[in-house]
Amino acid sequence: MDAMSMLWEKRRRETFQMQLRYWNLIGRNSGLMFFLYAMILIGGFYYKKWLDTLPSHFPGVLLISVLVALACAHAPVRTFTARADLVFLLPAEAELDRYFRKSRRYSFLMQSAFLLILWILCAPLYFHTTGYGNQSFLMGAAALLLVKGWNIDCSWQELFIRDTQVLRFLRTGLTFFWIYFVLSHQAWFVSVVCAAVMGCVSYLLFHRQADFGLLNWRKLLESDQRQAMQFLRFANLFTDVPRLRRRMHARRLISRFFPVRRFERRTVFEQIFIKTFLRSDEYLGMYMRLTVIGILLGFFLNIGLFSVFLVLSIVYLTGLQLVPLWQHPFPQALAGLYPLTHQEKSRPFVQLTALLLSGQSVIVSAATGFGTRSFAGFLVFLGAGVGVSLLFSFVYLGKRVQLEN
Amino acid sequence: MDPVLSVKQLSGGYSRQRPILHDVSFEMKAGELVGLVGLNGAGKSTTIKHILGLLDPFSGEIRINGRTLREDKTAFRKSMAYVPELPELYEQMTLEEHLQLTAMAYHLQQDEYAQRSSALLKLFHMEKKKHWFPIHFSKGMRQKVMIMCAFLVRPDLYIVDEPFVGLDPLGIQSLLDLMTDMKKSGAAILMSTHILTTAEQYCDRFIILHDGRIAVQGTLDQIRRQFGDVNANLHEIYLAVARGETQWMQ
Repeated sequence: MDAMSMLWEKRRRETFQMQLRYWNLIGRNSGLMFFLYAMILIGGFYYKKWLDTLPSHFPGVLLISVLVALACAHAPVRTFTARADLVFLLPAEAELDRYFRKSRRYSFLMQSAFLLILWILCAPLYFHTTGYGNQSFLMGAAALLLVKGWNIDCSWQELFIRDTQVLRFLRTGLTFFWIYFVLSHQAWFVSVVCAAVMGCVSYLLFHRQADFGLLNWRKLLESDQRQAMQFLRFANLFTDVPRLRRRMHARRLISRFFPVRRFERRTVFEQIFIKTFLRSDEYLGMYMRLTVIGILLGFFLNIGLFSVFLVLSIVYLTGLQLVPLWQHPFPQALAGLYPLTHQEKSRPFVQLTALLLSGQSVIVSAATGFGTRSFAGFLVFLGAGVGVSLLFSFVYLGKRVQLEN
Repeated sequence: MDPVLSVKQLSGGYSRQRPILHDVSFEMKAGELVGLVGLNGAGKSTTIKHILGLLDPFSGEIRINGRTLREDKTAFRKSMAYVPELPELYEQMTLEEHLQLTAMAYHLQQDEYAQRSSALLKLFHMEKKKHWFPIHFSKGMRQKVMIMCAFLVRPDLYIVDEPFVGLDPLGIQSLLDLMTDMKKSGAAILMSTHILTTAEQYCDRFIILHDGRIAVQGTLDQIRRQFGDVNANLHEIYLAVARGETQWMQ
């Protein structure tokens, strides 16, 4: 094996070991594991119930195709690169072919595993709406793996091409059509034509442009960094993860509502927490996503007063993900040199989480109340949601934060 | 003889909508130390990234020893070494392993490596830290690691980005001596810096960048004459450019 392949193996091994350590910690977090099992069981139960209520004309295949196509088209290549490679590996770029081929193969395997799990999850819906049998399921799986491979190859070529927006759009579209044609059992030549178009696009647009381009290291590093972060952020739900480099977004529009108004000491951390929440790439997006999921589930899932568990789960999950905000790395000066007491840091944090969680409770409860068409229900959801929000922030977080003093 | 580095009508940057460099042209011959000078944001680092081949020019071309990156990737990349502005190091590797990795990437011979690395470690007083992890070093020491890695290679062209910041006086002197030696043995060195007094003493020529264009380039005497004051120092000329007092350039 050449030196570069060995380097790749070494890095893969190191990443595996690091992830294994985190999985170990995750497995030990029994409360959350129990919560996840419960979610899976409850989810399975309602999935089946939902299938039984589906009308006969429900566009199941279309829905599955969209879902699976998105999972297929998202095909970043995991290269295990580090910023220092810009200095140390750059001179050997021409020898990295095998290194990058290994990266593509690895990405294909990992993403295929995820894709197959998704496909298995979709299977009940697929069987239910189409009435097809196991053979179609296997054929679908094969078609998915093929198109995944195609997407990985194309997404690698994109790293050599300057403007990729149109190409990515085209790639996603073709992926969707191919999957839809195969899954909905269109005439065989339709799929063949689609595959031929994909081949041509791959050759004429992707490979030809890429052959002329230069490898965009910056994009490569960013993509790898993002993928590494994904896992770490997930692990961070369960345990504290030492930080990697982060990205910030200006978010000028929302930030304008929170200007620095007073020069008082207690507003220092208030400002820092608010701006971190808004601008860092991990809090606001998570908050919005979970809120939207809560709204949709609450509105459509008609399980009467049991929805209270839904509201509670959403609030609890959101709360858990807000915990790292406390440890978000702040400039060193603020960590102890500024004349600020511990309370001047802990109080704004607890208040902000209480406010965020209560706000979310109101929104999700309202949607759930609408869904169940009951005002009394709304009041119950709201009471429970706000109750848990306050308990979580003032009691649980308050204690946790106090411990660090 | 081909110039070691030739940059011809280079326009470039991160996105086509907002080019940072406009029509930048210059050449570097063997044995020359050229200072790349300009305000923050003038385009020094972008120029360097284009030369390294990390950015693709929108127009114009860059040749090293007469070849472009597309013509011969290996030769292009192997004929230069780079010291970045901020040290970039692997957290899981020791100082010695960084040196070995460099030797591997540039395919050095074992005996070349042994001889050069021990000389460099001695020069920068780091022999005892060979097995330490540089990620725990101070900024200056990490900078020394980057410098040692680059000078281990002895390429035709060195790209050195702001090397003095954080270095102790002894380190600065070692670096300057090293650059003088390499120059004598025929290497070309492109160095971006804000430390003008040092640059004035050691650089053979200067390129003053302003707003992504070359405001003026040449030896200090040439620039002084153009500036209209034979006693002016680089600092004064640089400030004039930065303040937009550019009538004298035409």
